[in-house]
Amino acid sequence: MKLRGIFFAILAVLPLTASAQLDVVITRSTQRAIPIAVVPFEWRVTLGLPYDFAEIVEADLERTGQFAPMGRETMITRPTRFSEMRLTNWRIMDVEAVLVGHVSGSEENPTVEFELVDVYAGKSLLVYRLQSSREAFRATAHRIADLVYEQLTGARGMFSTRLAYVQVTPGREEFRLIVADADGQNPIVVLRSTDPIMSPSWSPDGAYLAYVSFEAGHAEVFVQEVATGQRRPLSPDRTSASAPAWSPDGRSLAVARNVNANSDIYIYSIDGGSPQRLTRHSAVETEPEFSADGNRVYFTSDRGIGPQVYVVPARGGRAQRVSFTGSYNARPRLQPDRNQMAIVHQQDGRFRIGLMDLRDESLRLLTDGPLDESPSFAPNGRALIFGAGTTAGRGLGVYFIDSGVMRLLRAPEGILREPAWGPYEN
Amino acid sequence: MDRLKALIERVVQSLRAGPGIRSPGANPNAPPLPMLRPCSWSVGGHAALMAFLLIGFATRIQTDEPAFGTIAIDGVVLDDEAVQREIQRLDELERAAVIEREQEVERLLEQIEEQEERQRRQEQELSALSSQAEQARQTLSEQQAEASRQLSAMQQQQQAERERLAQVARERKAEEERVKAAEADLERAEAERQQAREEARKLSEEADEAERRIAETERRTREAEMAEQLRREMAAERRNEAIESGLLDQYKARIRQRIESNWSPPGGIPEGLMWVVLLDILPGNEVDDIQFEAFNGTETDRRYIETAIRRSSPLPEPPIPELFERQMRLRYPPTEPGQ
Repeated sequence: MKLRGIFFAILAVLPLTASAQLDVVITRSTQRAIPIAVVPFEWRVTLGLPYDFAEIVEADLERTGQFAPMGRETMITRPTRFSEMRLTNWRIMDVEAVLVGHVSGSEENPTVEFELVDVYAGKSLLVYRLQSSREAFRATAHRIADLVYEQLTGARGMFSTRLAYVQVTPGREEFRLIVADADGQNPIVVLRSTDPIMSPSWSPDGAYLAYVSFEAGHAEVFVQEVATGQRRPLSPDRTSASAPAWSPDGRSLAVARNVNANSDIYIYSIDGGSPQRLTRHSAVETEPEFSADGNRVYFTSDRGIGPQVYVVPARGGRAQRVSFTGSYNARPRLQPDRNQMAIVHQQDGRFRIGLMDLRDESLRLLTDGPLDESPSFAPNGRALIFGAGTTAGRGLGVYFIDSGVMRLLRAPEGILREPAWGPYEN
Repeated sequence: MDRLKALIERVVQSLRAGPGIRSPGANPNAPPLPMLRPCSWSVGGHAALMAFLLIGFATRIQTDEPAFGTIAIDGVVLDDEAVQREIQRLDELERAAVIEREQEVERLLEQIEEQEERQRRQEQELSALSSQAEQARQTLSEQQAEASRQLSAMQQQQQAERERLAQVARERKAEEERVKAAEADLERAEAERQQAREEARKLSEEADEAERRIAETERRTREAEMAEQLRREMAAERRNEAIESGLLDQYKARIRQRIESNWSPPGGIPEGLMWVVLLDILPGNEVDDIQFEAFNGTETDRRYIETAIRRSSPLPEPPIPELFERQMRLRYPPTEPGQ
């Protein structure tokens, strides 16, 4: 009797609750490139050849693997501003965001105006005007790509940054230290040497490069101003040192100093003075890396079985082991803004780039090797560059973490290696 | 006669200058009586005539006739009678001469008077002529002045006329414009009246139509309410059947898959992200309104959730119409953090 009473009560209430909502639980997302359209900018300057801003922006975005730009030839219309767009057309073309723009002013100093449109929300996400010039038009395009990237991903763009790397000519006749745009364009040789050059490292402000040169017959750290080419040895006593790494404040450098055939981590002040010894161990301690707050120094040591990553307080103290997966984890580089670390992981004779989670120590291998080396994060942490030793050849690999896409930069001749991704410059 | 006239003149003058004819007892220093003046000529004239007669008589006697003594001396003794006759003859001659002279004087006087009269007339004529000339000059001058005045007046009149004509033209023009404006106003007013009539007619029709519609709607509503009641009862029944047979779960799974396939935040789902979204669904399964009931991500995260939902619209059709709901709640992650 009692049960029946409850049953009827439920039935009576049902018509009311039935007109409530349907509850659906979402469990995951799908990884896919965002379909976008970068419409060629209308060129309102009559003289000369137009600079194709849109082409560079599109290439930058496309390279990340996070965006799938629509081909220009498939665009039915080429609007230059939001107000000219028929959003339904773009929805039919399955485009989520459209970049439109136009260029006015003189050929020497064009003004670029552009607008990023969210097709589904039906609104403008970004309206911008940039002053450019004949010399800086690529830089302007990269800046536009940065703004679009930031708007669409929430992460700051890295297209306006620079790379430093070493080029070794065939037959090892010449070593070149090269600075280039993030897309590999505009390579400039900042140093040539018949002796090996290694381990370039950008100062936090992007004004200086520290690197190792063998010009004195042994490994020695130099600091060179990128703009002027002026350089000086870091250590007045010209001792053997390698693998320089800047502190976040740019005031000091951690290096692996080789004293009596034993390599330990030392910290040099950029202003001179005697170095501060950070590790004291008979094993090889090298490849230091400051934490973002400057309070800790990560480094590689083979004090255990094989090289592993350790961490030590920057003011000195006990070193702690960080990496545990496998028998070879070296060359740590911390991912900006994330609790992850890129390392060179060797397994079965293959050197691969891995991404280690610092909290749970889990390791995710990003590349196949077999001879990948020197990972270096883009300042936004969304990409890393490394010396790619693939079976197909050697170049610089750029791995985009969010998309898992890897791009390879190659030189017409020689080997590219030990890349360092520069900081934000604007 | 001239000699005579001059003589008279002289006489008159001497009379004037000398004691002349004065009233006896009058003051010799007193001026002559004014009353004498106008008639001085005639009085003078008669006096002169008297003098003339006297003198002339004497003179004639002296020249034409020997003095009486001489006669007496030279005469022979004469008979008294003869003498008396002679004397009588002489008296008669004398008398005749006197009469003749008197007649002569009378004639002269007449002549003088005539002369004077003529002169007077001439003077009067002269005076009249002069006066006439003066009159004529005066008249001419007046005529000229008048002509000038008239000319000036005419010019003024012409000017006034011109101005008046201009004024008239202006007024006419203004009047024409007023008329035109009035006509336009009239036309407009007429058009408005026409329109108002039209609108009133339409409103009236619409009101009728609305009334009909209201009545129709009320009727339909009543019918619909009854039908709805029935439908709801049947729907509840079928819905319960669907839930029991697992149709609802299948439907929800299809919606989930659709949303998930379209949810592609670049960089994956941020750690710790949580959201609950309430959707308004239109018949036809189109998503209308998206409302975040709970959300802890960034603006970019929000946009990709919205994009996923918009891209998924229209949502999969329910397997039976009874499973359609006007609202739908989506939530991520499957379990509340901490559960």
